[in-house]
Amino acid sequence: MTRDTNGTGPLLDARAITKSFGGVQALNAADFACDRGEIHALLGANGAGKSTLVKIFSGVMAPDSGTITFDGQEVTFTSPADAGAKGVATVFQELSLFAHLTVAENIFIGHEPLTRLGQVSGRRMRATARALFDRLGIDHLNPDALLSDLSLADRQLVEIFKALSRDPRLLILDEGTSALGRTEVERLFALLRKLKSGGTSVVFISHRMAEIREFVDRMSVFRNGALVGTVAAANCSDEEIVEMMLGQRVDKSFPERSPLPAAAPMLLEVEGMSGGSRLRDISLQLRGGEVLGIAGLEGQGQGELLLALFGAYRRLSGRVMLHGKPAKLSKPWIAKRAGIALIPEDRKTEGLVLPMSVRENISMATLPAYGRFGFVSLKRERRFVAQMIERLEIKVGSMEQPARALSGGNQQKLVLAKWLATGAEVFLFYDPTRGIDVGTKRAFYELIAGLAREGRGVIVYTTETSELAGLCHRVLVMDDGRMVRSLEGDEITEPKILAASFGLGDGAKPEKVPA
Amino acid sequence: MIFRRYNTSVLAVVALGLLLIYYYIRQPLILSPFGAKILANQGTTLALAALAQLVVVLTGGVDLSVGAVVSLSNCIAATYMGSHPASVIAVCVLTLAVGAGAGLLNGVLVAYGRIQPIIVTLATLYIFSGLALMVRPQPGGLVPPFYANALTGGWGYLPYALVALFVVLFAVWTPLMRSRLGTAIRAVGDNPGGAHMSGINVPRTLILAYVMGGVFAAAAGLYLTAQTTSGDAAIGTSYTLNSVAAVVFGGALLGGGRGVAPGPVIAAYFLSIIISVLFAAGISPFYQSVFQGGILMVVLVFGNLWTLRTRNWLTILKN
Repeated sequence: MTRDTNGTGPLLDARAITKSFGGVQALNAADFACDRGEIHALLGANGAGKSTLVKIFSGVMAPDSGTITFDGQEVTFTSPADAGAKGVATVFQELSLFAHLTVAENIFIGHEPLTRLGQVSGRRMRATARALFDRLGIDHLNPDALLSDLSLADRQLVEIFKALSRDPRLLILDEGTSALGRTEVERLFALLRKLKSGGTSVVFISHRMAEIREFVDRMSVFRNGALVGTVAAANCSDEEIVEMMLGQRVDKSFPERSPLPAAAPMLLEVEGMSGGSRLRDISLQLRGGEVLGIAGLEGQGQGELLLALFGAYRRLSGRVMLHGKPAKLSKPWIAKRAGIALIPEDRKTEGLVLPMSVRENISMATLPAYGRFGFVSLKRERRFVAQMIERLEIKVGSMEQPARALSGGNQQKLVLAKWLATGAEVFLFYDPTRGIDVGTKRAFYELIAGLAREGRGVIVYTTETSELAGLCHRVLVMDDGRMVRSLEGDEITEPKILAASFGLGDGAKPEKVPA
Repeated sequence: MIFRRYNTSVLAVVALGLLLIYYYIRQPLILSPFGAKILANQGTTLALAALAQLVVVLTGGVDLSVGAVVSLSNCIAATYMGSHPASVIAVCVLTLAVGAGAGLLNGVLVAYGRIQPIIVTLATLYIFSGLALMVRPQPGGLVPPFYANALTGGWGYLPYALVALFVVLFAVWTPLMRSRLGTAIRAVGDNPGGAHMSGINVPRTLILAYVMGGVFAAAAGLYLTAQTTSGDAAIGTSYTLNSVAAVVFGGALLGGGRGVAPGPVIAAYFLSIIISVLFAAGISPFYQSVFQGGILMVVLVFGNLWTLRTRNWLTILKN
């Protein structure tokens, strides 16, 4: 499949794009060019301007100044519909899906296949959706399922299919794979390469460095709203890229693991927990000062485990002991009172109230503490919030700013601040660094190590194996709702965790799924 | 599964079924051609008003002017209809056009005025009520018997009211909701930002939804005219809140995005018939409202109990 093209220059050529919001300069004379038929990664720390640039290309916002040439012609993308009509399809970071529509309806929204009578043809929609799924080797998605019943990873797949269904000339993925498992990512890139050989260009934003390196042709690095440089992916080291992103050399190492004292008190014991949607006979122990990692392939019940410990499920069997005493964690507020904190999967909906201010979000879980006679003392609240902002180095203009205005990393810090305020003893982290830039990730590692140093217990589930290897004292591997392995000491290395997750033998190198 | 969408209507079906059984035990005469006609006629106006409300609720809004449009179209129809079939048809078309115009005003204000739907339609509620009073300061008017018969009569056990309703449902509502516009309406109510990002023309979708709502509300007014054979500028008032109740009872989400026609339509019949049932049960008209509200509350709570069985609290709070 080849396309008619005008000329042979780059497909997309943006020059001197400038955009500011209020006083903040998001893009400052940024250049960017994407060739025909290439996979091009956009890199940069949070706030570097990548998302703004993508929003301009997809017609969500207009630049203050600058020119965009698309397929040899100078264009302006006046709306998402206009960008779509010109051949740009975008997979957005904030999922643009509809909970009450079916998978197929979501994919074809706005360009549904019609019958002769002008009615949406469910039959053709389902068939086309299935054909799309086949191209990616996905067989578990039902086109008729309601989106609200899908996991976050599956929703992201739907979002990708939605963009693919428009058969775009330029496909933009803004953090489009952050919830996907390794196999799905590899399949996706196999498909992207197929598209690329047909002349489609792909612009890709991701914070998963490893993922990017393998699959893309070129990389453009942004810093402070401007292009630092564009390099071929093959001849550039990880360290060099990070250096370009941060403007200084940073070592990728994790903070020192604090040694686990022999007499560390037992914080949390779980015995034979079953229930939720898929937990089966889970047992685990967490000591004060310990960072316990939960590994395994995507969707093996890790998320359910954290939610169960936070009291989100009812009717669980098994026993839970906190500080050596039996505890019944049947509701989140009971778990909270018992000293358990959950940094949830989706900070935007489960972790924060986005329209509310930084101050209100931080103090939300602990309001009575600033109270006097049932009224909140604003002074005490402010003093406390200011301490938290300083302690976690949250970058905010003012504490009255809405949480919505913060970058992903700072939003995640808000969630953590809220729970630190409760004085919780057990911290459950659900994929805490998803969609967060490298610098903030490091800050998070420090915070997690710090919690352990203070004698608190931490359970981390993350899709990034390197984080488990770098942070944890012990790693439990889950498969199909069960705990299948426990790794300790020297066993905690990336290859061994991966091997255990894939169910491979001891220390064997994991087979790479062919792309 | 796609049929799950219709699960939300089950509550209304069960409630109406139980109500009719109880009514039959109290008053066996309802199982007759005459009884069927009475039952059907009683609920059809509210059923049409519920469709008017549903299409707006699907976009995430609410239309407080439904009742005023019912009054306005009732007054126009009863005042100008005349007795010649041609003038009757012409006035019916005119009335529906006035309804569309009313919806257009609501839609434009919501889409481009950046005003909350509840405020927009509260304002237009006053405007449309005022217009109805201007058309018909005193109750009265002239409605030809053949018009009333055509909509309130029946053929054996088959009331014409149900025929009319089914024509509206299958010839108008269903094709509209199965068009791209129908999906767009639900998408806009579900996630307006996402709809915009998906290339949907959100203002246009909103406007068309309100226009549809206006037309259905005018249709409700036309039916009411056949039922009462007169025009009254105050007659529609109760239909605003009852249509909202029918929509919620019928399983639609007030936040938008979720809802199918059968639920609200059946709920409308429930809410209309229950008044007669209370009367048949010997409940004093003084206590009628209390019972009506109480029954509605019990049914809704009962219907929602199943969601509490869900294991994850988060899914409950998100719905």
